[in-house]
Amino acid sequence: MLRCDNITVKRGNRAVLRQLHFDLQAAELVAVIGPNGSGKSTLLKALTGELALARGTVELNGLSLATQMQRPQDIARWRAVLPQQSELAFNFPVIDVVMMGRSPHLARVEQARNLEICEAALEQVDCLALKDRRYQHLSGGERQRVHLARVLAQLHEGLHSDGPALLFLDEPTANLDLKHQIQILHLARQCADRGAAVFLVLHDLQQARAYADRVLMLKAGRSVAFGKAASVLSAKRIERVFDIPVEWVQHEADALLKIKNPKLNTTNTTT
Amino acid sequence: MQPSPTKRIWQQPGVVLGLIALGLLLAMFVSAALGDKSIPPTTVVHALLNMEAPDDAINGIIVRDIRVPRILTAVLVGATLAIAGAVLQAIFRNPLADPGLIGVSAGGAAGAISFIVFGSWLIPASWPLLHEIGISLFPMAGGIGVTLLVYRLALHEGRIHVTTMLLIGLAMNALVGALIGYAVFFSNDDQLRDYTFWSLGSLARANWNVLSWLAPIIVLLISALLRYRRQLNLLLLGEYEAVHLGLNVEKLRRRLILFTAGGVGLTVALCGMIGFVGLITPHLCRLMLGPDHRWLLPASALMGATTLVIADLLARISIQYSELPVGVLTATVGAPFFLYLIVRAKRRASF
Repeated sequence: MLRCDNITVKRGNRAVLRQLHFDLQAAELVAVIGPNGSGKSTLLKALTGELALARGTVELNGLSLATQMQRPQDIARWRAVLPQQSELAFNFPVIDVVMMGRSPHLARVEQARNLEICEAALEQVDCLALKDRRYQHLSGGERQRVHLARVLAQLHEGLHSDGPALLFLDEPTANLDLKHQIQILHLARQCADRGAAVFLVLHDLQQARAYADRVLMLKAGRSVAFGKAASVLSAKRIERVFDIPVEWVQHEADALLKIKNPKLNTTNTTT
Repeated sequence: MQPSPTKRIWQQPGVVLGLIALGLLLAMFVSAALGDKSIPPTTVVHALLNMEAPDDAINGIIVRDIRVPRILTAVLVGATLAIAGAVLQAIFRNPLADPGLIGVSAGGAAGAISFIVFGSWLIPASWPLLHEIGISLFPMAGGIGVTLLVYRLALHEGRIHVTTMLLIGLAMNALVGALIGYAVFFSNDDQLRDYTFWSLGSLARANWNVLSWLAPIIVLLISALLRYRRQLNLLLLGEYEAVHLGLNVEKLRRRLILFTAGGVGLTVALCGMIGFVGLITPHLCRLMLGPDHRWLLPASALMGATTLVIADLLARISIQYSELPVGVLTATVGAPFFLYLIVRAKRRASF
């Protein structure tokens, strides 16, 4: 579905991503993790065409991203992006915001059907009751969920038939309380199970291990490891990359991340 | 996006649009009747129907040849300014963008004045047509140039920097002030009045001749802008979000800027800088109809036309046997309104 070869991205003269390789398959959820400033969001921006590549290539379905981006109206039918923060300076009703997600499909799908799809998407993110509320009267968490509904509505066809679907989520849990964090991760997982390729920037390592198929770990713009979630997220590697001593504790079926008391280790943090 | 059944009848977009249109017609009619010489409504109707008025032939001429072309010009110019304001506010994703405030009108005026000053040297006086074309093209180019400049400078990583946007407007207005200052310094008393025309705005130059070429251009521009109603909604989500929803933002923006700034430049060439119509009217329409551009754009056009017809009427009747520049009136109402918007935005801690 998506593959990127040897990409380097610069901001000004500084390379913020260096020589990155990785790929994302259909029906797979890949989480990107790394400390602050490691280039997670930059990578997402490069993969969605928001930032230019200094070197390397990104391919979508076998075609280069640059070629695909020349016809944004085609790509928008099966690829959606949820940014870290969406702003909307004007006060639309919630249903209208979600309806914007249907705009790539307006010519093919009739209005009543589009409305159904949007309401179903709002239902999925637990926001159907907010349908007629004004966007600017919502809390930060509600706004984020409404935008998720917009993105789900955009990919409706891909998620409910055999068509391709590619979903980028940039720290979707950032503004949310625990319940809605889990809800969103469940939804992302569900998208992958339905055949979508999901690319997810995450902060929480435990969540990454629980929900991702594969994990890409970044540090200072370089790939540290890429592979099965459990093996990339070894306690040792986390200690090295995040500079904090941790261990995994098995509790029934779940792996829990336990932070060792950092005070005990201040003299010798790196191993 | 559908009119929901719970809405009262006067909240339906179609009804609101109809009411504004009705208001416009009423304002136009009253404006045709009032002035230095008040003309009875029946005579106005006779004159409009192109019949010889029974009581007074002069009144018929005043209505047909002076007031009607002026009112129609006010309609076209007001509609252009308002719809340009609404579109610029979508491009800049900020309700404070106004052709006057961000310097588009000033760019137009700078174009006009430069042409008046330099054009007379470069183009021989025996080619009046070239002068006519130049005096419309230069303001359009000036308006488009400034808008592109503001956009380039205010855009940073897909986000619009509001302060930069407004500061560039400030700089452009100062520059035009200076240009007018030079022009005034080197001109005699008669020309002096001419130059204040650019900065204060007036519809006094309107006549059937001007209208005959202005009307088709403006109608074309407005109908072109109306075609982008749906896309403008997506633009509000943000630069990249719109791209991800399938919009060719680069191309769309180029066209929108060309049409709006070109239209504003044209109105400046004709009537000078008339400020704040593009700020107030889209805002009023948003209060009535919400931010959906599918209704907002046509409503703004109608409302802008109404506003300018009324403002021009007041400009004509407030002083006997003379008239105020209409820009003075729109600024008197518009500037406090702008302050109110800023105070309100400050309270909400964001623009």
